[in-house]
Amino acid sequence: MPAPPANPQRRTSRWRPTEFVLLVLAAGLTLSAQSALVHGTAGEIHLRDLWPAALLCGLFLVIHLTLVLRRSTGDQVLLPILLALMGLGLVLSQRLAPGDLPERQGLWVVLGTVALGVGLHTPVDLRLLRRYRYSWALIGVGLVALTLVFGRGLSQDAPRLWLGVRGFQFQPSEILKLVLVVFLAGYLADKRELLSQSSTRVGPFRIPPLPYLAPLAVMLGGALALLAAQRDFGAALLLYAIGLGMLYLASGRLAYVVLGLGSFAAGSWLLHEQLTVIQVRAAIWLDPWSVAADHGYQLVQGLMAMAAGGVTGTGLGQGMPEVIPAVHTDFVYAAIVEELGLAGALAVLAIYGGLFWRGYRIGIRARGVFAGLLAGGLTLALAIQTFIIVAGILRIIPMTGITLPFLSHGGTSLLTSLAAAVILFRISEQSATSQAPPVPQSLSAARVSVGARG
Amino acid sequence: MTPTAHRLRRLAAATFVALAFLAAGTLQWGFLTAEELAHRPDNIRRIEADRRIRRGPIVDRRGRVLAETRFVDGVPDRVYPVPAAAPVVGYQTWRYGAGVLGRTYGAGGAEAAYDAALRGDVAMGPGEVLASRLLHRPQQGLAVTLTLDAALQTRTVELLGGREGSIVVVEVGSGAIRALASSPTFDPAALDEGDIPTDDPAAVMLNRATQGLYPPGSTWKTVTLAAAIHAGLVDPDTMTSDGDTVEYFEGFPVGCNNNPPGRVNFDIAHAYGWSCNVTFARLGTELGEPLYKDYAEGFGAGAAPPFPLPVASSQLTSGPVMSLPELASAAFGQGELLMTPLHMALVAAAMAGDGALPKPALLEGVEGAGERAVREERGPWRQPVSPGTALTVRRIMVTSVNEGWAGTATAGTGITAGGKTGTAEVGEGQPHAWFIGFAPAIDPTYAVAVLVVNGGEGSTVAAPIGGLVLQEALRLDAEYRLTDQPEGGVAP
Repeated sequence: MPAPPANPQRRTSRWRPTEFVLLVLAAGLTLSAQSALVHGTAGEIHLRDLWPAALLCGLFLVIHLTLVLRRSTGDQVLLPILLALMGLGLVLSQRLAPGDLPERQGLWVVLGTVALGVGLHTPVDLRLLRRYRYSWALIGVGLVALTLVFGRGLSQDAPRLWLGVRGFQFQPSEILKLVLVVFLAGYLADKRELLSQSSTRVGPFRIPPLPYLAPLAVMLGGALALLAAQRDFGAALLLYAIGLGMLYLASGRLAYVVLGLGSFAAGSWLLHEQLTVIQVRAAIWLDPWSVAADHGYQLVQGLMAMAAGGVTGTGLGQGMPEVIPAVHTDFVYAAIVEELGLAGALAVLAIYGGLFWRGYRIGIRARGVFAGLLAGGLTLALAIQTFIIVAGILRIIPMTGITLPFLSHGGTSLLTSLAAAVILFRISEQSATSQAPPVPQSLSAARVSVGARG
Repeated sequence: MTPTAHRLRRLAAATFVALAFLAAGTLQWGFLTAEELAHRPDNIRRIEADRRIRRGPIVDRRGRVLAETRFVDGVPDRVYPVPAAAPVVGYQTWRYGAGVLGRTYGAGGAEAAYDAALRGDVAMGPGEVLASRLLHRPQQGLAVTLTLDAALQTRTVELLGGREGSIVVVEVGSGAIRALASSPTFDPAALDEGDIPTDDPAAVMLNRATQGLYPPGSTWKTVTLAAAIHAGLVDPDTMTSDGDTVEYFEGFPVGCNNNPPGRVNFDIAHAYGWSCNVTFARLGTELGEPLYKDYAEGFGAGAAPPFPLPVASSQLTSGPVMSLPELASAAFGQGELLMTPLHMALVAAAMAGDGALPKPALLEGVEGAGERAVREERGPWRQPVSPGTALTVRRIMVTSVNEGWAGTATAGTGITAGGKTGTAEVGEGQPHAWFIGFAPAIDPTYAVAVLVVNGGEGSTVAAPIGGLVLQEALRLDAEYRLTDQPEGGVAP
């Protein structure tokens, strides 16, 4: 990595003061959430019960120090947002997850934080990501394919989405989301000139040139079909939406998005007739009250939980979110509305908004199309995922089984979200250290041209 | 700005619009439709919210716990250390009664009557409300002190010995209920476990003191006597020679029936003490139906005394008009008379006091509040006769104990008392055994009513119990005075 050139125009302090101040705020939030939980369940607080939150805050402070030591110029708001979300997620896992799952999640959180710390310092050569994008994509799809054969579910009838060996399991579809963004960023960066030219007209719509759209469609379609076979419709919807979004990012044609949404609507209509699972989901969405006793139970309980919160919530540990099935994963937002109230839920939405804002900002300031697409795609992935799950809980769209980034219980989800954050951070560093007009050596925007190898 | 950056800006805007939708959705479900959802029958949150309330304890006048909530591993459990007090204290259970998910909130007795205070549903200032919402303080109930004396209550149940019946002890003047027993009764703790372990739930759940209506028998002669004296019809020493008389009231024969053999001429006081039916039949018919009814209503017949627990209305007669035989019969304690033991205890308290039947009071105090609630429960209910008449009747009742059939009440107890026995015919089966009375004889402190359903003769069955109850009440008072215990349970 080239030494950062002298930078007289941007006088960011090496002490990263914004990050420090925000970290203190985030630590305060985490610690007060933890103590609220302790108070809400046990009735009294001993300082030693706060150790999970304290440990997390400590780790993040250490990471902050390492960044200061390295004179990093990366985005200063990302790390505190991560602490706030992961801290809250840790507390929620303690509150909602049954059995020994909170301890496992704590382990994931600690491992994830350590990996975050390491990842923030490891030189990430984005060229690697770009060059081997087909390989990454194939690995991702392959892992998901493995779940068809070896997959295990959480219970007898649950979709078999997990791969694992004794004691350790992960969810390949989460990884697929990440590698697909990487793949699409690379592919679309190379092809974007082509994609914005139109050579075929179908009616009033312009379709991008087919030879170039085809691999794109294949990868997307393959992933989606795979997931549909595994009944993981949430992930399928997520990937499809990410694909559409990145297509728009690269081509600038809103028409593609419209076409994509239209074909999705047609596809789901067709599937609706064929698959009872979709019929059930749609029925629950349209009228949960009449099936409140069986299929609609989860959604109705979630809605009643949210109704019970009020403005300030019932207090952590004092509500009844545990009657909602899968509340520690799919329905964690309902628990937030119930126990933290409207104020708490809107605050959480604001924190997510902050995360997306920084992500998009990093993308906007990134040097190079690939970096911009990558940052935008990762942010889009997080944003769409957040929207899909929360909208499902709020009955804006039908329910799906995907997780809320950072807040839902789940190791793979946490690690992939953290990986996205690491990449975003590294992109922000590289844009900050580059001068304007940029001729960065590692991200060559100039190499995007017709006929470049893809 | 590069085209990618432009599009990223647009995507960012779209993302924030989407977040706004999420915020709107949150507001809708968390706020706009919240009320409707809260009232859905499959929403167990309201019940569970009730469970989280730290319900206040119920204590007796000496501070002994009658009901309290103990938390076991964070789960609330309502315990009742004095099962004898069940008819008064009632129950508060999550299982009693059918409902969605098999759980409904059920409460009875004092638990129901003072539910608001026990839950802590009292007005707080806005600052306190905000603080307790922000800090998510659990709702704390207040301690409710009843007028009951747990030791006395236990003793009354002991004396009933499992027989069907009821005992009520009222403090003269204040109307405070010191004991209110109904036998057989239920175990409030068992209600939480599941079903009531008995074949006939109605029998154990019935509070005979407040809701059992029985013919009062000769104890009702007290009312006839008070009416006759107040109306100036007779004096205590007015002589009669009813000992061997049989009088006919439109063909209905009434004799004396109960006087000792050989005693033919005696005064009104002894006619009362020996429960001479014909004397009182005549007194009643001489007063005449309208006046008699007036006096009876003055004593509360046809109504129920105001009480925190539900009370059945007593009855003088079932129809609008009383025939002469019925009037005669009612005057000596039969006819269609139906009274609750609580009501008869109030009659005794009226004669032991200033002639006013007091409102029976159950509330001694509520921790930190409730002065007004206590005051509302107290006071006179009906004033049928003057204090002078009451004094006269009182003296006659003392004579009744000293020289009449009620003497079995005080035999061997060492107390002085006044009272009247009753043996109420009920057609088939044994008659009801009754006793009403007060102690001590001069300046009485306590009044009592004892009923043993189908128990037999009042003087052999009910009066001894009544005497022992009064003895215990006085003994407990003396004991507390000696040990200098402060009265009143939890300090207001």
